[in-house]
Order: sequence, then structure tokens, then C-alpha cells
Amino acid sequence: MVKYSDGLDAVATALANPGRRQVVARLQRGAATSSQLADLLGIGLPALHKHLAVLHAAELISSQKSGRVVTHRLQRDPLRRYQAWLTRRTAFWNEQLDALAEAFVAP
Amino acid sequence: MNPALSMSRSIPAGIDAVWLAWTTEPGLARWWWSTWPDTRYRVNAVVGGEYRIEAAEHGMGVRGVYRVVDRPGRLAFSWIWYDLADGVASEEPADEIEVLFSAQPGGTLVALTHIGPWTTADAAENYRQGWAFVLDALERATSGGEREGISPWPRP
Repeated sequence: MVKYSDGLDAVATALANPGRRQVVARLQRGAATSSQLADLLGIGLPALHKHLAVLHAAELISSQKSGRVVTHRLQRDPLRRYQAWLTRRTAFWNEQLDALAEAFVAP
Repeated sequence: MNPALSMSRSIPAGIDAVWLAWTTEPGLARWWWSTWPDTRYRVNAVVGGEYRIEAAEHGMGVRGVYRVVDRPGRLAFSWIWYDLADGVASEEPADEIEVLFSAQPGGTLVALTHIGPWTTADAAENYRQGWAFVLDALERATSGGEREGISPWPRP
């Protein structure tokens, strides 16, 4: 059973924002620097750093500094755990609603 | 699209019969884990009342409190999974479920929404979009190929 100590609440919080979803979608295509992400979102670096902090807290990204350039990469495991949470519940309700419908079908 | 954990199903029965199937012990016993011989049902379908459905053999159960009991159109309740493995109950934080019933030709439409434990009311739409985003990614992942070009917003 999925436990919340896995940080699903942090992942959900991180993804409950259009800008951060945009960052995740961008990083699914490969690594990007802070400047590239700020440009993509059309925001300044201070605002971007707030988003990145939330993504870090959810362990959705990892960052590497080289000189003055910071490069960010997507970590897929939290996303996979979140997907597992969603698919488990979706499967559960599909099964329950099937059973409900079947209960009313004449034998 | 089907936004994350919202789904609906047509049930070939009148709205009152479907309402009773959700809100009474004999009603639930007709379909909820009904094929497991030892499922037990305790239901008090009033606002603030509790329900508990437990399948000892499978070591699992679900319980919660009714938030809205508006016969026959709307039912809302909290939702706590618990696990009876090793005789120790371990619980997950409460999710929230809302079920809407509406009469339609030939039966009743049941529309269900399942919200995770992290939501606050005003952020629900944002969380739904987060779900949709992840489900979209999942769909692409399971349909093969690279997960590229995923939209950060749910599809219309």
C-alpha cells in the first residue's frame, strides 16, 4: 500500500501549479538551466527559485552547479509513485462501479 | 476528457434503488466486495454518521464519515483505507469522495469524484489539473514511446 511518507503530498502540491507543471514537462524532454526555465515561464530568477524549491522538496528534480550555471534534471520516481497512487484508486472505482452495475442486471 | 479521479457509470436501475445501494447495509452488500464471503458493513448514512466496510480475510477495510447526505442526488463522505495486516491497523489519511446521482433514460448516472488527502477546498481544481497532468503522462508512457511533449495542462 502506498504510504504518504513517500512524499505524495509534496508531489501533489508541486504539481498543483501550472508553472511547475510547465517545468516538469520541459524537463521530461531533457535537462535545462535556471535561465532557460525562467525564460520558458516568463518570470525572474527569484520567482523561479521558489518554484524550484517546491520541486526539490518533492524530490522531483535534482540540480547541479557548474560555475555560474545551474542545470536541473527531472527525477521520475516520485512521478511514478504518484501515478501508482492514481491508477490504484482509478482501478478500484472502476471495479466497484462495474460491480454496482452488475448488481442491477437481471440474472 | 476524464479529469483524473472523476468517473461516471450508467446503472440500469432507478435512482432510489441506486441511492439505497450506496447508503444501506443490505444495499452495499449487493455489490461492495460482495463476492468476498466475510465482508461486514456498518452504515449510518446521516450527516456526521459513520460507515465501515471491512473484509477480514483480505485484511483490508475502508471507513469514513458522511459529509453530505442529500437523497437521492448527492452523497459525500471521507474515505480512510486501512490495512489489517498482522492484526495491526495502519491507516492512510482521509481522502474525500463525492457521488452524484441523476436519473437518465433506462437508469441512473452515477458520477464519482475522488480527492486526495492533500487538498484544500479552494485548491481542488489545481490539484485536479495536477492529477490530469500525471495521468496524461502515464497514458503516454503506457502507450509506448518516449514521454515527450507532455502538456502541462489537461487536455480539453
